[in-house]
Amino acid sequence: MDNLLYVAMSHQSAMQRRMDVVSNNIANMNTTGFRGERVTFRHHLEELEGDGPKGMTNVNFTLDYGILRNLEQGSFMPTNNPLDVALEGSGFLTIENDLGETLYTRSGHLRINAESELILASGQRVLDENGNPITIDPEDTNIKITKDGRIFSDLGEIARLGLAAFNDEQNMERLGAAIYRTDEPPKDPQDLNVLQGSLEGSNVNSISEITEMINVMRSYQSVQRQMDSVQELRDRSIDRLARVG
Amino acid sequence: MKALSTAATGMQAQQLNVEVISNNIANMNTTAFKRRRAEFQDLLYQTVQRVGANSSDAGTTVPSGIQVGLGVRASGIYRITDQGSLENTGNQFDLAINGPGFFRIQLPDGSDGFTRAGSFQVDQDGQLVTPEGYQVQPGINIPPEAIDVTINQQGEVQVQLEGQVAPQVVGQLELAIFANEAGLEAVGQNLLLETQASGPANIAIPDTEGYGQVLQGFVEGSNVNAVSEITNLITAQRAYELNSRVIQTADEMLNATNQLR
Repeated sequence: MDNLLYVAMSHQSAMQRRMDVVSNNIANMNTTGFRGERVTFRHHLEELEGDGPKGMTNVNFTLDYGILRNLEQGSFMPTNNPLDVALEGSGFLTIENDLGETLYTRSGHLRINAESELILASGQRVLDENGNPITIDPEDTNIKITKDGRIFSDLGEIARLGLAAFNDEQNMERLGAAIYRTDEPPKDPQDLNVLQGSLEGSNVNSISEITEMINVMRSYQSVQRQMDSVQELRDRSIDRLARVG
Repeated sequence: MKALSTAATGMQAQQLNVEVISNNIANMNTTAFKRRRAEFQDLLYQTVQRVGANSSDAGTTVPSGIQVGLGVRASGIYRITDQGSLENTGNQFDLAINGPGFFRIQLPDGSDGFTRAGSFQVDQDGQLVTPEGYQVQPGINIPPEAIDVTINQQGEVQVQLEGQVAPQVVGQLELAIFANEAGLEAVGQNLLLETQASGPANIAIPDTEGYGQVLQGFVEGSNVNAVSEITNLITAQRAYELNSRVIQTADEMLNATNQLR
């Protein structure tokens, strides 16, 4: 009987983790460049202690396996802001944080800081194709960004955005909402377009998330019922069997 | 419960339907815009009992079997290419195509784009260009001293110069048709690109067999019908609500299952 409760408990904690990921997706439904995630599970086999039905030697517990990221393109939101860019296709912008680490993102909310550097709205510096920060002076008016990431102003070409593509996007570590880190060396993107004046929204589909939430809730509830029944069985057996006289 | 995910596919399909309708309505006043329609097909079937399987040793067969459908998917969003209404603008470089055909435009990267939006202008060198400055092919050059420009239905461009009685021909417009017009790829800015699905462009003079006429001083409006778009919008919204009702019901039924003692 112990197995029953522990298997049920592994299921409940798995459902809680699944719910955490779903609620993170819903919370980031309007975050630029966010990619929805799903938890995947695997079973974990343990030896069955004591007697069981004939042929059954193992008990299946549920265990986390990993997170699957949805790499679908998010929808484009035109903003008409010349410093907003959306990436179409597979690839990332290269950025650098205050510690000097090279990170990657799909969020194209670009701004110019007090030192005339091109930064993300969250403060990281945007790097060009050689890994250097991009400087946009106040004299550079009429910023135009072409499809291959070149930045032009009325005075001429300023720099080219550092665009990176990776073979293994699933294993990139996510820091914060839309920033990723990886050890894999970046390669040139094959079919990436930079669209000025738009932002890529998150690719979270509210209908899928609500359906997933309903599934998680009902699954949790049914296993809860099962645990309640087991509890009641135990109550009764202790009550009856321990009765003396 | 399968009904939960089946209804979710229904809601996503109706959401796509509304997105197509909203694009149509947003482009109701775009020159030569062709409305699009989303087409759906049923998704998959789970066979519980195969149709025509043997039901007894005597060789009797099951007449209809048991197959459970699993939802809907979008099978295509295609353009409806009927002619838009012609509006008289009186502008000498506004051209409308009455009948099949596309104008050929040279894009900045050298490739050809095709469009029916003929609201052209003349740039600083006298070349006939689109509002973005892309050249109309074959290049038509209007001399600056031209008093009047006439473009006839066969696409011949004639200019009237001062002191001359007869107008001079300065160029000939061409139209392109395709084996599969619906296979052209839209890239925005009223431009379409040739693809493998559309077939190669067949170029000829307007008003020949199978090609439309060029009308000067007119623009072709969009072919979006406001009434049918609003009706489709209402139908899509109702279908979306009904699907959400199914999800709620499936949820309640699951709840009832869990309440069993």
